[in-house]
Amino acid sequence: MSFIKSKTIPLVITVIVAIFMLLEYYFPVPGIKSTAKTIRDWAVIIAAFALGLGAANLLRIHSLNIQRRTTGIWPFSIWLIFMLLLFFVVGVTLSIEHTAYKWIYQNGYLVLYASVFSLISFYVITSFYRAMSIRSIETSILIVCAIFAMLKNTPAAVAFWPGFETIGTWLLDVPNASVHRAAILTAAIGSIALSIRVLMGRERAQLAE
Amino acid sequence: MTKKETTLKDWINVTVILQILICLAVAIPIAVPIGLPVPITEYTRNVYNIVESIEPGSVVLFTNEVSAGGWGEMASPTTAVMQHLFKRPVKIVFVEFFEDSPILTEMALDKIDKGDKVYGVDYVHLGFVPGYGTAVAMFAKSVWTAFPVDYHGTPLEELPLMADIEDASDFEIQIEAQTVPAVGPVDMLQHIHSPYEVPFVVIATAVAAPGHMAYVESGDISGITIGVKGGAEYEILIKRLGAGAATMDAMSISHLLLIIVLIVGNIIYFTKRRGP
Repeated sequence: MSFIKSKTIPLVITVIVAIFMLLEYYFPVPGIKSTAKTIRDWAVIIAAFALGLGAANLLRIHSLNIQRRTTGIWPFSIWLIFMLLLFFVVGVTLSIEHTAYKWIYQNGYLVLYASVFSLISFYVITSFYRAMSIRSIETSILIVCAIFAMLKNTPAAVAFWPGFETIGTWLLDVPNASVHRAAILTAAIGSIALSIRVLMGRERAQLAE
Repeated sequence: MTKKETTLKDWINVTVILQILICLAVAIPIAVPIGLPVPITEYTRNVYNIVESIEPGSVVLFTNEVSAGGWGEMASPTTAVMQHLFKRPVKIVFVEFFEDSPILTEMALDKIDKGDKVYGVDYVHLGFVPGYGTAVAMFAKSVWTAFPVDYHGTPLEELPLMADIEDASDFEIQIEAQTVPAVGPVDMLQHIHSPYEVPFVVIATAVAAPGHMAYVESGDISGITIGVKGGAEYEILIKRLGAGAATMDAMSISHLLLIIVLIVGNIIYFTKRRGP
């Protein structure tokens, strides 16, 4: 029984799945291909199930907030549960193509989400005033680059002097791309190392360890 | 002890003034357009040329991974590129790998002029499949396994366009509109572009674009349009002005305001530092 309760089974499953996915890439023989395809199908089904699980978890957490009258949170929890159920009921009973569902999405979710997103502009302007001061050579370089990047994205400035576009594009294509390339390569090497640990059964993060 | 009353002077500070200024810099040019010039960048022109050169009769894969919050910035470039595709003699398959996106695709489809293109024959909207990167891999290997029915619930057998589509190799080119980090160009490059050699074009937000430039420089991403500015440029190229072009005055003025604020902030910083 201790074997079943232990984390050995999930670990073995992880290793087997990882081996099959790797084998499929390098040895695409029919048996391995079909098994890898089945595993991938399962992964998508699990992901779909996880969406439902996430909704159920939200319902549980916010129901507890309401029950406990958590200060400053519980009225919002009521609203969240109301909206969650509204989307669910309308989507399931009328379908997601129904005008009612589209109306809630466009006039509720979409505009609120976009409004929250656009609040960033207020933070940006105050940060430009307060935080971006020339304190060292590094910040000076950063600020000069920021100005040229902004001017590149300012159509009127580019129309006034096309050089802003040239400088901004150079910044994007050369220093920015080279730094990102280094970051991508480093992350790729890191993920290869992580994959080897998974294959060897030494990676246990997925087991909440 | 008497409570001190809050006066207007207490309420007005630099932060509030700056926030009012940015509000005005965005709102006034949208309400009263000035008509500042919008030059076309090489990035956008390149994407336009790529779409223009797609072989007639080819099938284009258009994946939409835009969140509802990002739609404000992405509506214009996404709709403009979709509109251009509908003008071309090509077939289009729309797919989403992010949960917010199917309705956004439908909203864009409602807005554009579809010409004489017929649903099921010239274009299809398959909808959303969960699983992010895994779902992309599944779709690339077998479109029919990922989507037994389309977004409207029609079985794929009833859609003539899908008869010739088996896996990702059946697409001539892929165009992706993306804002969310959960699924994006890296997944498409790994599961579609590299194994099936499908050319790949990205419609990105201005904030995400720098992260994609390494792939643009290496040629993995064939073309990129950047943010609402890219959208405005694309609208000009296809001669169908929309939301993007309408916001370009606001874009110019708000960006110039930010640069002025940055310079003024630094002058004040230096003055204070040199002071007694």
